[in-house]
Amino acid sequence: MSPRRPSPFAVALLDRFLVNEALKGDLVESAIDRSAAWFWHQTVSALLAQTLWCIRTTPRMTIEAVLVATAMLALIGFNAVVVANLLSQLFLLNEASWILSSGRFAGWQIYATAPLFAAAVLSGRAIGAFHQEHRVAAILGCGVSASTAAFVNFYLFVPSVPLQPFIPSPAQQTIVALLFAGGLFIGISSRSTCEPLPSL
Amino acid sequence: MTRDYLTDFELMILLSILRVGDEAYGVPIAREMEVTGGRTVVLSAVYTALDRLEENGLVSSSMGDPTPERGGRAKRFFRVTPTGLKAVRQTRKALTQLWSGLTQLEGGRS
Repeated sequence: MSPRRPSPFAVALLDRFLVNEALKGDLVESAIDRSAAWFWHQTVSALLAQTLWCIRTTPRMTIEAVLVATAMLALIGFNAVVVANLLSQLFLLNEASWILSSGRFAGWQIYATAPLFAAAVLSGRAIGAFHQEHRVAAILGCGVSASTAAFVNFYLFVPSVPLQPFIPSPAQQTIVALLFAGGLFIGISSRSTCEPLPSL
Repeated sequence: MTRDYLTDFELMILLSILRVGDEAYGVPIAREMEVTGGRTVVLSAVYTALDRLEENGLVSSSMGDPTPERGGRAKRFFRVTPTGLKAVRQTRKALTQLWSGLTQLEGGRS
């Protein structure tokens, strides 16, 4: 029987996120005579253990990360909803009734936010490039400026704004917010600023 | 604060290192714990405990050379320090004293 090869995806996860080289090597060496389920279990356990270690050793950074994530969700998710509503209003102004008649109007709003996922990833990368002490300021600055721009656009392009119902559905808000949170998480993760840990 | 006693997991790790000898790195230590100790082991938990033991001066470690079967990653070898040996002896003494005279544990199969 030929030696078992560990899952390339799991190995890639270890290479990308696990700091402890010796543990990585031990897992790869052990995978030869172990099942795929065992290797995944060990991989997930190692990554969780490292995360817990990071939280325990750098509590201030953890709190800051939670605050930043919350600020992202509130500010940029809100912006996405504003953009989606602006787009729907533009459809109405331009009498794009075929979209309405297709019965997928809500779907169009969601699709319209998809390109902003890329923007979220780029924003996350930009934010991740900042020194950790400046990240909160960067997030707030980014959020405030984006909110202002969204509102200005909204008022410029949509007539009788005060009369327009600005109440997007909870499902739409949730999807858009999750989309942006995911994009920002990916963007920030691509620029890790966590100090190498002694072992884990 | 440094503890002056060992948990059962730490004790098993130290005993496994002593049983494996000079070639004690993550894989044989975990295997010894599984085979001899009869316990399922998560490698990351072993390393977490080993780091703690090293911080407390009970084990020392050194990096080996990278090997191809490990994807070019080096092994980290562990040795029990004299302080670690002393801790193992103290724990054995304490456990033996706790076990002695317990009539409930005599004569049973499990």
